[in-house]
This record gives sequence, structure tokens and C-alpha cells, in this order.
Amino acid sequence: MMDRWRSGITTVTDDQLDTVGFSQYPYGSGPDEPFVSVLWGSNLEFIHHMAEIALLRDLWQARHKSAG
Amino acid sequence: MEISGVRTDRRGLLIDQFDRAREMAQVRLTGLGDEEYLWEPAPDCWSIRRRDEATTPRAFGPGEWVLDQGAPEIPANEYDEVARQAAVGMSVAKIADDWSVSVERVEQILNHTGPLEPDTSPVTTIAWRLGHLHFCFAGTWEWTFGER
Repeated sequence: MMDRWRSGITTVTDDQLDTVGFSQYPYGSGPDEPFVSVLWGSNLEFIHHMAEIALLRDLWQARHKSAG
Repeated sequence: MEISGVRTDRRGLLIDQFDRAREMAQVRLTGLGDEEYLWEPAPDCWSIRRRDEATTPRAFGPGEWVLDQGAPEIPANEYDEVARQAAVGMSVAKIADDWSVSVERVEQILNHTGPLEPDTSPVTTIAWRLGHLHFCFAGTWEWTFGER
């Protein structure tokens, strides 16, 4: 799915980057902003949630090490 | 010494950032097993659950498994963004509609002064966080490049 996303974003033109509402996804601010902002925001979401996951993985590891 | 091949155009910059984030994600997810995937480190976690076992009010999904979701609310970490939207002319009604909350709640937030309330959102499992990422990216793809 991320492959499909990446394929899509590599085809986007400069005009499309500037197009407000190029993404019509109703559960975000896509329809109200230029697509370049959607890319900016989706990268942020990705990095943010992966950092949260990384912390959980670290805590799981720590728990299992101390449990012996 | 300058690194060659760094893209400085907008699309190149954002795609390179995405690629780097994905590289790190692939490393960090290596060896993830089911037990860790569903681990609930605290009481009342949001996770991915069977449809008839979910207790959150807006749990959603197309089939047997659903993603937990709470009642509509605007978290404290979005108050500044709400204020910015109102400042550039977005109507209170539109903001309320975007978040599925009442107009009164939006006005309360816009009038908020002083320290922010601590975040009381439940802890989310790895399963929830990956599920959330999946539906955000899949949804954005559908509504940009797909059939909508």
C-alpha cells in the first residue's frame, strides 16, 4: 500500500502540488489545502506514529529482558 | 564536502523524506510478532479488535476486525491549529463539522486561556498505530488517485 502511495506521489506535477483539493479525503484538511501540504502532513503523520511504535517496541524489549 | 544527488525541489524533498521514514520504519518493524503487535501496556487501550469485542463508541472497519475509536473530540494539541483556522477565516460551523463536535465546543476552545488540560487519550497498541497509518494513507490515496 505504501508502494502504491509512493508511485502516486512520484507522478504528481508542480501544478497538482499547488492544487487546493487535489486530495478530497474527507477525514483531513486535504480538500482545503494545496496537495503539497497534504504530502507535508502525511509525512509528519508517518514519522509521528512510527516514533510512537518505536517507543512501544523499546518498552516491550525492556520488559522481556528484565523478566529474564 | 557536499553530498551530491540531494533533491531540492518540493516533490523531491518530500519524497526523499518519505523514503527515509519508510526505511527507518522497515528496520524498526523487523521481527514484530503477534503478541507484541497486540500488547496492551495499560488499561483501556485502543487496539484492533473483533467487531463484537470492541467497546469504543465509533470503532470501525469493513469486516471482522475493527479499529477502536472514541467519541468525537478535539484534543488539546490541536487547539492552536483550530485557532489558526479561525484566524484565517474558517467558520466555527465548519471547524465543528470537521471534528464532528458542537459549535459551542469550538467556541469554548477558541476562548481557552491558561494551561492546556493533560492529554487523556487512551494508550494505543502497535496494532492500532499501524492500522491508523494504513487507513490514513489508503484513504488519502483513494481520494486523490483512486476512485473515491
